[in-house]
Amino acid sequence: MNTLLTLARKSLWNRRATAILTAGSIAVSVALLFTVEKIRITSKEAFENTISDVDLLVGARTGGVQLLLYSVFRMGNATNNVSWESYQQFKSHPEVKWTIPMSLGDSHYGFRVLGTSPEYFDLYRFGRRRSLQLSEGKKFSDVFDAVIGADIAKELGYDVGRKIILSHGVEQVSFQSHDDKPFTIVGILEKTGTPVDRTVHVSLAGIEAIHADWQDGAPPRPGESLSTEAVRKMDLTPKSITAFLIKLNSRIGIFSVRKEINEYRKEALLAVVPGLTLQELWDTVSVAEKALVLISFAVVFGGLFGMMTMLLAALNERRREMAILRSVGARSLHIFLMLLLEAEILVISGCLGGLTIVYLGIFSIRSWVQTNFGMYLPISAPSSYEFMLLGLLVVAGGFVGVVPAWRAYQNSVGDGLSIRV
Amino acid sequence: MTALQISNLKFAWGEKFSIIIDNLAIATGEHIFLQGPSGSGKTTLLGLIGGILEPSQGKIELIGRNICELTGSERDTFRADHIGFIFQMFNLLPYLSVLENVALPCRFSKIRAKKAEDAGGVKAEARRLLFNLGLSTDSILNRPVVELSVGQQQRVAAARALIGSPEIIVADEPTSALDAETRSTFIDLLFHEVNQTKDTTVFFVSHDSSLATKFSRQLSLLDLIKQGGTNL
Ligand SMILES: Nc1ncnc2c1ncn2[C@@H]1O[C@H](COP(=O)(O)OP(=O)(O)OP(=O)(O)O)[C@@H](O)[C@H]1O
Ligand SMILES: [Mg+2]
Repeated sequence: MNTLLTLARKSLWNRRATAILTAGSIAVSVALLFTVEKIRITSKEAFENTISDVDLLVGARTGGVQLLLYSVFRMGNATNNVSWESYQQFKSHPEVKWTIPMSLGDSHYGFRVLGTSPEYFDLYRFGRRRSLQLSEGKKFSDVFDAVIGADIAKELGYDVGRKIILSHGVEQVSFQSHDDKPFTIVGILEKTGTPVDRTVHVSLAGIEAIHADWQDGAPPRPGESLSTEAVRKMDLTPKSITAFLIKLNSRIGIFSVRKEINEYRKEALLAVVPGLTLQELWDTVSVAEKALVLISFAVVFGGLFGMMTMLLAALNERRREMAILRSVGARSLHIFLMLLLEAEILVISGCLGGLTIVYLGIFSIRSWVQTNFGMYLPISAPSSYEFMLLGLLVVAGGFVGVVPAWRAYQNSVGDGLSIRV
Repeated sequence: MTALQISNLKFAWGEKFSIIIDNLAIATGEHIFLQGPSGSGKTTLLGLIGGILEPSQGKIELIGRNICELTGSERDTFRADHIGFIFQMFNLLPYLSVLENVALPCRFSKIRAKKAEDAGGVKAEARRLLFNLGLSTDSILNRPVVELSVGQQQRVAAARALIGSPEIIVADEPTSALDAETRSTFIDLLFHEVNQTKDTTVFFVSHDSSLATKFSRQLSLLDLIKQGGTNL
């Protein structure tokens, strides 16, 4: 076996131009497969880590995925709100540790505005329980203070101290702006890789203040608008919010509290477990990714078939080599095994080459990905799934190698020791 | 002791060519010079002796074993253990060094490896054989085999056939590509080595009848066999 391995290795090296090309094409296909796989896992994690360490997400009754989309991913709009009274009711529920209110509906150049409480900055968790960090400035304290996400600061070139105008509604170009009540940016958050990066955070009172002089969802008539000074003196307790997050004292209570909220009589509410709904949403958005995985598998099989072609094509010129081997005592079985070993050498060096490409690639782009997408690419040993993929490739290489090996075996039986050129 | 005993042998290449040998006995240590015109069946006979071709009838006994009774893989093993081959040209694997080429039979046969080991080690034995065959300088041993002259290549092939002292040496026109002088030296060197032990039997095919005198016995294929597909 050792002899055959040496012979296979040296024979391949003797044909190194084609051998390296073949192993190289396998390496590229393996690199593609692993990259797609890494992207799939990382993006799935990033997606599932948009929000973490929260037990329940509550909004007006609608679909669970829809609730998640508009409250966490800031996509689409809420059709209904949750009354302030209901929010207070559950905030003071004995099993509830804390809540974060969320009031949505306004925007700034297409970026969503979130009205919330100052605790949001301390309690909100994303990723593996990472908390929000301010890269500049401080949390909001005044009614007209705003804290913006990293993407907004970068894309619009904003700095702390700048005044911004919020628009009513979420359209990019809004005709109804709250231009009489500008906000001041007091803080900028660090990149998180979640929708937080594209959100303007203000206090609930701030949201209330800009709508204080509105009547039934319409801007104030001329002469009826209130000055910022006048608004400050009003009671700015909101009448309703869009949704809220709940953290319980103990996870054991999740399903009973959820039941309680869903069966709440005074108002039609919906409570969902974010993790489960995220999973549900992922299943619907991951179709494209599955296609990508399928394609990369197809490319790998292309590489393996390329190898088979290369080995088969070389067999005819190698009849003399096989006859010499037979004349020095190699059995037909040895010829078969030698060809199989050649296939495995090509596949394994292809796999190693592919892994090298992937790791070098990750190593060189990780900081760029971190700053631009907020995605953390870990350099870790291949996962057990990836090891399984590698194992599968080696097995597949063996199967593919059987074809030229069998051909060589038959040739060697037929040719015997006769050397014909 | 007989090295080869053929009885009632029949072999045919389709309708065109057949070979029939009623009886042929070769004693151990004989050096056989096989001659005959082109197409007379010399290579075919060597194939039968080497267990590469199977007769349709009859018995071929090599050093006491009837090789016709062996299965394909048993015959492969028997051949690896007891027969050394030299062919006309391009006998060597281009991707192995001279020494590796010579040592190759010991990799496939335990018996030959053991014999070489007992003679002082596979490597030393390979060097000794090459030296005795006139290839001594290290520059030759370490050169890629494709850079050797044809005469040098044939001597390497001879060393490879001889390593591990197989009982039978089968050589099919090993000298045809050599000029007359090299041819003669080659055979002298080969015999010098073979004669170290008295029990190596050599089957040697050549068109050059001037070589025949160097052998202990000459066989003409035409005398030996009744041929012609028509009378079969
Ligand atoms: N593989 C084969 N298939 C069919 N016929 C063959 C085969 N090998 C040899 N023959 C036929 O057998 C006959 C003897 O061939 P063989 O090669 O044994 O002759 P030879 O004496 O070695 O000739 P040469 O001196 O030219 O090498 C020839 O007629 C040849 O056509
Ligand atoms: Mg011939």
